[in-house]
Amino acid sequence: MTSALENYINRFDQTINLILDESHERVFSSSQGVEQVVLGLYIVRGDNVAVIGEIDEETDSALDLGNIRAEPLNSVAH
Amino acid sequence: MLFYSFFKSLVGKDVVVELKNDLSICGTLHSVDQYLNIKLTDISVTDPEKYPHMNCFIRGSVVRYVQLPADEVDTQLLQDAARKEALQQKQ
Repeated sequence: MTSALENYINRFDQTINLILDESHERVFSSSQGVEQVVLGLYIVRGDNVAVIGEIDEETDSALDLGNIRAEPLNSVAH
Repeated sequence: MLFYSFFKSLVGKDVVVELKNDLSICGTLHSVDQYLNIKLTDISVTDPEKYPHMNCFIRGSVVRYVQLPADEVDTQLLQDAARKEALQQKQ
């Protein structure tokens, strides 16, 4: 199971603390399609951020989330 | 500061960033900052790709390795510079 927070980054600071507006979490699984959880306004502490990727709206709307399977990602080991 | 300057000299080169969660992302080095946060453009995930992205920002603290083409790096120069920096930091 792998989760990713997505949507608009309102503000951020030097340590990559983030304010995310209209955020939703996408939970990927190797056995079933992607589950989307609506979260709303979120503050994320920078320590927990690994990668921030820019979403191409076109590619994203063309995705069939129900058919996507993903192997779990390992957790970050420092 | 040394490796910050080192990475600045590699902007525009293709690199593979291996993260501490074992994920590898390859792309073109766009920029780097004092924390060695990395911005990549034209990225692809080196293992099977399910979610194509274009640009990404990688937090420096989650990078394990940055894989570079050997001919882009003057290893001797880098070693000497690192030794000098280490000596300066001791004082």
